[in-house]
Amino acid sequence: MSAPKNSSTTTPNMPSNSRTPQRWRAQFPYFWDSDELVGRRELLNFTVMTSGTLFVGTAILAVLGWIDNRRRGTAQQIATMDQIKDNEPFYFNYPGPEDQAVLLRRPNGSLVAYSQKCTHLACAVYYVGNSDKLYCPCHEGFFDPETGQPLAGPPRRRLPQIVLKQDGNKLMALEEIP
Amino acid sequence: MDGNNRRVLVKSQPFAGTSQANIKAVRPPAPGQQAMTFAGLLTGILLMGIQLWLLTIALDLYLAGDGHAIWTLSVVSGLIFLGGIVMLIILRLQRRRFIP
Repeated sequence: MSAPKNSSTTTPNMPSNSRTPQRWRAQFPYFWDSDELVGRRELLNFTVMTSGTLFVGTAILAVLGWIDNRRRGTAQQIATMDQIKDNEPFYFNYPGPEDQAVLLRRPNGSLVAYSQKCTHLACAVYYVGNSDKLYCPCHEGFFDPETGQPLAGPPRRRLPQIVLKQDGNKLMALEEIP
Repeated sequence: MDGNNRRVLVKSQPFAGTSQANIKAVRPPAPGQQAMTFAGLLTGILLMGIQLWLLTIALDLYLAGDGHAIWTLSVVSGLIFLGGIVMLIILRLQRRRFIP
């Protein structure tokens, strides 16, 4: 098949052979016909390489999960027992001075403490006594104060829990578990 | 421009991609093989999507502190990758058999 003789039928993708080059062609000197086309075999190679990359990413996370101890914090006193009131949250900082946390006394008398950092986008959660839930105001996330598990909203992971130990009148935080 | 004209242009025009790879790229699959080719490609893309999904779960588990559960995801992802490698090897062997 020969190239079309009538210049009016030529496609704009072909470069003009006339002596007056088109202005847009000078500004955009790319010809899609001359682009490198991808063959089926090349596409397959690329797919397998991408698959390998995804596998390597998963393997790296597996190794990190194996060797990385994400528990943090050291034992330190956070409050005295007389500071903890029923149905009232006690806010403190643990494990670092910048890390906010909340302590609750449950109706059965047990004490639970969680990091205030929402597992969605790290906004500060706080306790709402009326509904007995931990609430993140940024995106309407709710957590169960008994377990720290997400109840509603965007969060999908539980709140990091802080292990507590009562030592006489002192209340100690031992470590934070993600 | 329809597909036939485009193929002719690729081969005939001096400005067009006339490399051997480009000419191979526009060559359609053998008769009867087109459906198999597309099925293979679709399967590969689907498996790659599953791998991406596994990676997101692995990241979620890692952030949640359940790092010990990621191994199984890694093994499944590795098996899919191995399947792709085996497929590449089989295709290379077939090409050597048919193209001397």
